[in-house]
Amino acid sequence: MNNIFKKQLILSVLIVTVLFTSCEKVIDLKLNNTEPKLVIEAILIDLDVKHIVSITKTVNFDASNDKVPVSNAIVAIKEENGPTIVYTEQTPGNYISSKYKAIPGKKYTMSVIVNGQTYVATSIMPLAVPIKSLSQIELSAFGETRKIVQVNYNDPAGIANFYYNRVFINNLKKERYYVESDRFNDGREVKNNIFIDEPNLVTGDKVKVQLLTIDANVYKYLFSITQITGNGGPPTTPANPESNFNNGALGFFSASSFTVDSLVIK
Amino acid sequence: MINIFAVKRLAVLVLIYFISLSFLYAQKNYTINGVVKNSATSETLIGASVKISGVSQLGTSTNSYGFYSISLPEGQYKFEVSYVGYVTLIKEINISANVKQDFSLEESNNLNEVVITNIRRNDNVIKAQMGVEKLNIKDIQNIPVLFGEKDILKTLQLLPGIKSAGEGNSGFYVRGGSTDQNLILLDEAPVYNASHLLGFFSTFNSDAIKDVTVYKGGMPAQYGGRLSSVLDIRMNDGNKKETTFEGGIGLISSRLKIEGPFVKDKSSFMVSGRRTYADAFLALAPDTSLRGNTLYFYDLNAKANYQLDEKNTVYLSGYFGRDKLGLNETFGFNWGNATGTLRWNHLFSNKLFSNTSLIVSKYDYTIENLLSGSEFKVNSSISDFNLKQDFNIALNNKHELKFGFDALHHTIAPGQISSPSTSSVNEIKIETRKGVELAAYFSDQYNLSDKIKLVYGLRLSSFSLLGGGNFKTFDVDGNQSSSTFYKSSEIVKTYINLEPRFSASFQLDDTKSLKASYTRNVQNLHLMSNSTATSPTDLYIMNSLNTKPELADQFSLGYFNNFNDNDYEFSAETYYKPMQNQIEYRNGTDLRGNQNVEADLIYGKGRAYGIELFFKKKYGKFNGWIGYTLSKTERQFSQINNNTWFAARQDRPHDISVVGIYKPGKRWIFSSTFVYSSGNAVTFPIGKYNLDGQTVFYYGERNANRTPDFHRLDVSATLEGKPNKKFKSSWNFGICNLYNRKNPFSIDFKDNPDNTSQTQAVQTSLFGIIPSVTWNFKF
Repeated sequence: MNNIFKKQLILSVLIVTVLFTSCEKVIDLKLNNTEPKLVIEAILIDLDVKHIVSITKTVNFDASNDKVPVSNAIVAIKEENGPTIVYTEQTPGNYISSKYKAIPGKKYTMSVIVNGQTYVATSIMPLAVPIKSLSQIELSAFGETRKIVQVNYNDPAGIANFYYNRVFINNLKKERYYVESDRFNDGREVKNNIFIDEPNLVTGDKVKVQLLTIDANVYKYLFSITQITGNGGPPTTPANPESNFNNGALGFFSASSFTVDSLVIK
Repeated sequence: MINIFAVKRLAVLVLIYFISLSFLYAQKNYTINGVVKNSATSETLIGASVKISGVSQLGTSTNSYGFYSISLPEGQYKFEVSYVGYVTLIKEINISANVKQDFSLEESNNLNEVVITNIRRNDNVIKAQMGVEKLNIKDIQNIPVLFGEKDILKTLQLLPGIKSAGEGNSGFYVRGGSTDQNLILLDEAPVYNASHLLGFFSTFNSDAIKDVTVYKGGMPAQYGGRLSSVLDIRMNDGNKKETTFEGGIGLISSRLKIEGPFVKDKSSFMVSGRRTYADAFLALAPDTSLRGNTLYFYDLNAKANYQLDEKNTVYLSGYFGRDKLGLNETFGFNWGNATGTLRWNHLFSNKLFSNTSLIVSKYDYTIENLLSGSEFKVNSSISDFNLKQDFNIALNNKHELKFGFDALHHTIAPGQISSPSTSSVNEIKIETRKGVELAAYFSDQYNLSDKIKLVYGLRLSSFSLLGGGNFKTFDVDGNQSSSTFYKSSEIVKTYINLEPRFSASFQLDDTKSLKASYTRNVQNLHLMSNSTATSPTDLYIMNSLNTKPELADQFSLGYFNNFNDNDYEFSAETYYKPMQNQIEYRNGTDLRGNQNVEADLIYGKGRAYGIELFFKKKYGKFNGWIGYTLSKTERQFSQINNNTWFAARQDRPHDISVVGIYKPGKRWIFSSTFVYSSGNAVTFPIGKYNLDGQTVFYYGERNANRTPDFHRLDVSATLEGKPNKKFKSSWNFGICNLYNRKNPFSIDFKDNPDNTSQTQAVQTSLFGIIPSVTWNFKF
């Protein structure tokens, strides 16, 4: 469903380029700065693997994009009526658990202590929804034929499901949050179109998709970011999304079921 | 909410007051009435001035149907009838009985008046009404516009206090109001989306338009329903004398108008159409995949009238317009308005004029996804049925009364998704909402003395939300707190409001006056958009259990001064406008097919204040105007910026427009416009972070930043064909954005593609310098 609005946007852009001589230029803006904020990124999946938590800080707009790691944090996860697992810092800002398999339907509470301040987030792992297959379709618009990957899966009926497609092109993660909800296709065989551009897909590209089920909070966090950049429709008034961590931390904690599939573009 | 008994008592008092008025002035008076019309076409003239020479106090102007009525004691009078662009008619009439007198004015060939006109040379000074402007349609074609598509909405935006909602956007902001706070009426029918092609053109084909009046403040009591402005647009009735053709061929579109009599001097018709043909070029494209795409819009205006007898005239008018966009076999998107108005003018007596209107209006859009496997169609619409009754009485030479009522039924179908069984998309229907607005009003234009004139009135308006479905309430955090089922037509909730309207002018001398006004306006329909641009898919909602009517009180003061025998006009108007029950979306709201959109709404306050300076040269070879607005528009919501006042999207502190028109001789007309405004209030990042491989920006306070300033110079030249021929033609050449200014349309923040460890701000500009040429004809 996102796609239709994406297309509306593509179309508007096309109209603008057909009718107008629109142009882009890099401009120099004096932007304000703020105190660094804590950013926590934590995904826990239903595979028996070591899980990673990344803790960083925000930087000024004109600084380098490189992550500013936050070391010496105390990171732990507690399974509802289950064990608590403590993470250890492996490289600066990256904290790793022991091998552990999380279970769909269970509630997980993550706590992170940095400089005496505790940040807590909870996430209930949604039911597992495996990828059935990936397929390839083509879409022509205004003289251009685009190759599109479809992610096929069966959405469980009667409950709200949210998905995060982590997309890798030739083993490089695509910088975009492909998030979906089942609001328009609850209980259906879903063929979710993944639009990939900058650059467009070409024959021989290897596309890998990790399908993560996510809870409503994580969906909203990522969806809000896509809305600001206009990926999900017309750009909205920018605002900071609400994290499921408390005490003003940014980022998210998601307990997610996980499957992966890949295909080579024909 | 007000006590219903208080309202009744008030109504009785008002009635007694008017009965006593007519006794007070019950001297021996006769009435002269009739219509003022164009001598060549018999087209009635709206707002033409009918005054008694030498007596500033005695006079009136024609109403929306060209009708006037004046009561006078017995005697010999010299009538002066004038209208901009027409030769003033002076006629001596002896009044010793009631007289029916029509006036026919001759068009002046020597059009030295400027586009924005005042009815009478010093009307702007004398009349109590303030915050009003009229556009003269005939001269709009001289003002340069994008692609040479003459556009009344674009021309309006050159006036102080009226600002464009953004480059290439037909939406406009009036005195700090948002785009949905403008009541746009086409032959009395509300037009819900007045733009084409995602906002680059307006839906009003100026060929079909006779008269445009915009009220920025001091709205007369017969108008209601929107907070910030009234844009009253009237279509041509059609030539009653002979059949004529008129049209134009431009870069983007072509237009054709036919008008003529059914029965000479009794009945006429007008049909006017316009269609763009960007897609015609696509069809010629060498690349076959380009050919299956559609991209066009059209407008069709039609009107007919019939004068049954001296006392009865009926009018039927309609507008149909649609935009169609499509990518071959994958996607379709179309939207449009349709309106229809049936009117009956009736003269009960030579003093009492009545108009009854039946109006329908509909706006809808359809989105179709044809991609195999996920086919679906989304339909959404808003439709109105409206009955209006208006009365005009020229009670005596001091009082002119207007009163009437208005019943308006709204149906909003927010969205329905339908899909074939092979599609993975489910069918969804969001509950349709129905509501009724009822209003009654009166107003009195009262000439208190030679120096003091008043217009005062009152509008009593109500809105009832009607049942048929589940109605929910939500707490401040957006959690559902109750849900109640109401049967069809059951009243869910009623809101009643009193809207006082008051304007006064105090004339200092013949050329100077002070004016003041206070108006309250109520708005029961709200357009919801969380994007930074307007979109055809923006959603209308009604008042509900959660959403209360928006209210605005506007106080304004003005100084008006004409110089040099009314050749130059200067005005300064200030306003202060607090607004209640303003609406915004929560952050991160997903609007698509949202069943509980009200859960995502937050409510707050607004305020707007400013000063508008206007200096105009009205006559001569060179004319034009300079407008400057200094203003501030703010909003306050407890959920945004910690409940502090912040700059609204419409806030632009400085706004300047300069219009110049030069007519050196009979055939050439040169014109130029320059606009400058402060940048828009926007939200920029104050930091960034990396989250799962993507750079995410951390934003500062809402609207705490500004885009770069906006300015642009447009020029045009019109060459009229040789005069005195039956076949008239003209060429219009224009250049939009002469010095190729790259104004910001949007500013995006993204990774630097050449150095992905850095981010950059990228500004998109819609267009640079754009030339245009249009050929117009008439025969």
